[in-house]
Amino acid sequence: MRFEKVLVKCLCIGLCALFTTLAGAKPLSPIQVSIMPANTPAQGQPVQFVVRATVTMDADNVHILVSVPESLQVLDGELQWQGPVSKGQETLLRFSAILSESSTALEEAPLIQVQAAVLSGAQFGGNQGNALGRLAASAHYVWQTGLANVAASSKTSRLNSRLKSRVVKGNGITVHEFELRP
Amino acid sequence: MHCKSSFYSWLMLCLLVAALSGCGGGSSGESAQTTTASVSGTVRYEDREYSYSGFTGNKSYKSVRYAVVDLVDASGAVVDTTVTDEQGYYELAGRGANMYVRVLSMTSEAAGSHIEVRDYYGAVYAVRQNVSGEDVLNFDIAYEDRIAGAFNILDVYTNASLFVEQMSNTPLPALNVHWQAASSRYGTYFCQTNYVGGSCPQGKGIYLLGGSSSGGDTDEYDDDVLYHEYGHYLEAAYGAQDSPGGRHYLTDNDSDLRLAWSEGLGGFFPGAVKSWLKENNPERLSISSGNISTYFVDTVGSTAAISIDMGNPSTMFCLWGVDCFVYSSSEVAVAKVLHEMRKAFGMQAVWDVISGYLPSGTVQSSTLESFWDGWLEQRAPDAQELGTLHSIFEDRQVYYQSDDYESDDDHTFTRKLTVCGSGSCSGELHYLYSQSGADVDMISFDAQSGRSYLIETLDLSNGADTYIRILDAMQNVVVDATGQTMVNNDRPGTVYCYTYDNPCRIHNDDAMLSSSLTFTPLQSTTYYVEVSTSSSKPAAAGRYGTYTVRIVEQ
Repeated sequence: MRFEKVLVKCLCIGLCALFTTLAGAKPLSPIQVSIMPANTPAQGQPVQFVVRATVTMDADNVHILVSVPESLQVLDGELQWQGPVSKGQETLLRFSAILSESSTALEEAPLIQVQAAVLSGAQFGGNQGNALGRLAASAHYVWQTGLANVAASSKTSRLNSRLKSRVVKGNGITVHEFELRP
Repeated sequence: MHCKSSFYSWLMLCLLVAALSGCGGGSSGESAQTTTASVSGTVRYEDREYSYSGFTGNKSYKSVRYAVVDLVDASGAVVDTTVTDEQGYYELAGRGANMYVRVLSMTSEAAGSHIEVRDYYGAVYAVRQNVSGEDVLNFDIAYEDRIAGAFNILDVYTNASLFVEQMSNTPLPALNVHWQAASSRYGTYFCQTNYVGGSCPQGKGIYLLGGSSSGGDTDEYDDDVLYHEYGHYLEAAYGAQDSPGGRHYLTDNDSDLRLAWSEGLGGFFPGAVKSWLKENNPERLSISSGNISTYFVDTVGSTAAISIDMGNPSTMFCLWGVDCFVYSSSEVAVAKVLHEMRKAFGMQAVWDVISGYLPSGTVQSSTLESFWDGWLEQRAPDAQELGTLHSIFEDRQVYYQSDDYESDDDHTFTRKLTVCGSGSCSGELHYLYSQSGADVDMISFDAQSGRSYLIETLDLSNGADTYIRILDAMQNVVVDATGQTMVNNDRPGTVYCYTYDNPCRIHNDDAMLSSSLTFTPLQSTTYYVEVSTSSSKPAAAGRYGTYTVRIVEQ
């Protein structure tokens, strides 16, 4: 009993600390989007994808656009959608795709990109922004299954620093040093 | 003997030369390379230009200002240390073995405050190059070497600190920033206490997204996001941080007033700093030429996910184009108000209220209401200034002023509200605001015995939380024909929790904190609806607010 009380007290303190310590997160777009495979990707098999978009406000004009690279063949489903969405309502897009036969030797994994925006129609278009602004969200899925040459995708290696690094302690400070090439 | 003496003389000479030049003996590789070095150079990092649409692809090198630079020997000892100047120039000299120069992602106070950019484990970043006889050792930290991001963070926060320094005599506390390339283990937010653990593994400071191995969102070059978080750091630095924090969406206009203020200040701050830079130091800006300073841009990949002008938010994001960036419960509205105040009265005036009134001048939480109170107290505005203020606030539908019926504060006022027949009825607009204390609105109406009336407050905004009572001519609370005491705080059936986005967050929407009564009078006479701010209002709500009142015969 005493242990339970202590446990509850600890949980309360922990939760309070968590909630009182995070003062300000960055602002979020009112639209949120995700893409997930509905079935486990397997070599040579089509994969069904589900795109989910939700909006935290009533919006009369929401756009969802899925960009699929040429190395994937879309078998069926929708790749774009436009229309009104009520606050909290979930909008779903489904499509299935398969890796093109000629794509198994790719050096970089195909990337499926999803963009969703609360924006008037004429001004939405892929990577183009506009002078009036943009409230959007994006998500992506990296297709790895069935690719022969993508041991470590070049995308991954680009994101990590090219520099050799080490951690040095001393003089009252810990330093994460990166060796700059001449 | 001579021979022996010559041998010892040669040995002593050799040891002396070895000690002085590091070349003697040859048994130790380190001592063999002990040298005296005098090295200087310039430190630059590669910045990315962005526009409303996202990153433009243009890059340019900028000096790393006020950064600590060390000359370090093979044992790790710091032989000499200095700080880069405005142009990123440094000079170091010292003696040691296998020495190298490192530039730390850490500034001196010359940057406006002591700023450190660290990894998630608490280590300060540095770039290093070996000293190998050159007099000049320049550092060009390229964007592709992702560590450049740490130096952009350092540069942006140097801008912000210098911006604050020219307005304030109070030194800012040290700022710790935590970011790690290709890691989004934590989000982008500010931790305001020294509590270490959970989402704040290094305690107090700003945490920033670093992306992931497959892409993801990264913020080290999103200057506006960096400035936004600096706004939160400033609030905490001045002891004026009252926001409960949590998720917040730009189009929300029913937020907790404390959250809306804090995030609105964060939305305002990027534009304020960039406007100052545009006038005083435009080469430190990263925005494309001709871009408006008040735009807030947050990228994902290279494209802007969020791009909105806080100084002039577009209604195209709002349902049917009806302005949704309104009320003191909207962070964008707060940012817009502050920008208009800055343009009308200058940044110093805005800053003086934020830093001088909110932290210690009031026991009230930091909200747009408190900012308004502070402005009146600190500046005692004349009629002209007050007119400008009202115009700025009214533009965002914030009404800290008397309403059309302000003489109705007691029952001697003879105007009567017309009772609506059943059906639609628009009601009467009121502002709960008084400069001299709590406002009370008294609305009289005629009622007939045996009939039933629905009396309610509607269309609440600006944090209003109404409390209503029905009084008789003697100003006593009425008990109606059903035996009910005619008092209501929040209308029956109000659900505070488990709305779709947050389990138990108070929404300052049009209905949650409104009031209603069904009244069946015992006598046909004149009654009074007294409307005031609820004494049990949640901290999320305001002391002021806007509402309409309606009486419908049922």
